[in-house]
Amino acid sequence: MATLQLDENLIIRMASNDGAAFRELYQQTSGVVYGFAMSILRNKHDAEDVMHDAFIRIHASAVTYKPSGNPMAWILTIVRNLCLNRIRAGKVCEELPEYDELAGTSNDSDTMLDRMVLETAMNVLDAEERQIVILHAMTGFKHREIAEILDLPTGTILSKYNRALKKIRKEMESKGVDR
Amino acid sequence: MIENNEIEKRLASALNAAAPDMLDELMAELDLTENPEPSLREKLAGDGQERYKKAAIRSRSFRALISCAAALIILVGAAAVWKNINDRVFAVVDLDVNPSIELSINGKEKVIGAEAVNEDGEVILADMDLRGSDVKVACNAIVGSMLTKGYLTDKSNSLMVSVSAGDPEKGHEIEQKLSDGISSYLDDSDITAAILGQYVEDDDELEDFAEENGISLGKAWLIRKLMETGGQKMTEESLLELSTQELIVLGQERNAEGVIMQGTAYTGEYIGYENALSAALGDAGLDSSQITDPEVEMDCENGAMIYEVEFRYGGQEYEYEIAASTGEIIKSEKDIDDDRNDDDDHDQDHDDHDDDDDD
Repeated sequence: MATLQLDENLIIRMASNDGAAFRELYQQTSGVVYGFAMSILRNKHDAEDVMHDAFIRIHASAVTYKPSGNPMAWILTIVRNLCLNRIRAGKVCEELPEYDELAGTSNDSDTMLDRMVLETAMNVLDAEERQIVILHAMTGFKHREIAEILDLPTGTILSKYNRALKKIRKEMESKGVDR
Repeated sequence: MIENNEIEKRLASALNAAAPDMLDELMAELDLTENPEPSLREKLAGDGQERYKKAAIRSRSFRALISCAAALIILVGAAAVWKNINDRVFAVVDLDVNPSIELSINGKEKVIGAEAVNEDGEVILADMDLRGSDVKVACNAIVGSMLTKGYLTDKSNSLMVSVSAGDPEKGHEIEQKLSDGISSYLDDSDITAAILGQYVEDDDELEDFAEENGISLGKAWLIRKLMETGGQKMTEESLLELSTQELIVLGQERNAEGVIMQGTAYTGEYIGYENALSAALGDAGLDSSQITDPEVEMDCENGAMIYEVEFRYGGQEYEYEIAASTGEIIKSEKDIDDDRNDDDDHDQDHDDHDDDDDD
């Protein structure tokens, strides 16, 4: 799987209010930012709020960004902190999300299947499993890198990752998706 | 069999499709354009030379006027002059660590007044001239000085950002922006800081309370919100004796309304909820498997942090107060449990000892 490579210079350029740099960064990272927030919060509205706040924060923090070779990890840490703050502040909606809304209006079979996999992941995985699988799927990060972002041992990431995929597969198969 | 690879690909594709498009909204909110505004220097070198030269001159004399006016205010307190040449106070920002500082800002979010609310605040402001600076820059400068002067440490790691403004929405926005700014500023420091952010709904009563007690509006507001959390032992007098750090810990632990925490206020000084319960159980000669409805809350009494512990056993209600920092038992009470069939708050003032099951 291709790793999501983000040019560090974008963040450095953003520090001087460079709108083009912001646009480029947004286009490269908005899916991951949203997906990761969804994996933690499991709720569309909260994930959207966090996504909005995350980009505002990324923009504001660009000035203090210290090049580390892994700007994506820096962004994901911001997203994770915002999500955790939100949970801690008790602002997260407890209701189950409306998965129907998740994948837009298109109804071709491919999109339907995408939506079904997402729905399954959201329903059968626990919070850590969701974060691990979604981060792996969307960033292509190595387990070691995911371990750092989630502050968990690499071994845990590995076993949870495998268990999570097995769970999804089993559930999909029970729904008759078997190929 | 559906492959792992395909599962991941489909997951990513579904989430990418579900992600909302908020680029334009964000760019507008951040005031970003694709071609960044040329700096004043670049403008001066370019075409519209005359116009920008004039603007530069005007702003220079404007700045001179402001410093004259500032001197005037100090000398004769001519507030009217101040008002004429500057915007009205649009919002008031309080920063409390132990030093408490109050900033008045105008609609452009520039500082038009900085005041120390206590002596420590004077120490911080002594060598600073914040007037005219952007409020975010001013806040970071203040926090930086609090750090170097040792007011923010690992154990006293919390600060409070309170904003009051005529326009609540704008006030919330300013609070959020300043908290975020300070948070990222402190990310670079050696301490793991916690920021309590709050929007203050200012009223006369609150202003009087703050003034009488020599505290900031922000602190007064937090005390009001803490009182609303219904701590059994809490009084305004006793909250007034607490340090800012202790007030923030209480705001965090009691989930005071409207309080937004970034980071966690340090509570390592205290024994913790479980140890507080164990201390009470030890005193009662019981273990946790024997009791029901245990409740432990952080509270304060006579200016000290305590745990308020309650549980039931054998038809009796036990109540303990445990000193939060030492685990010492301050007070213990045992009462006939007249609340057995009542799910509501446990009212300690029950004195009718009938334990039948009427409603």
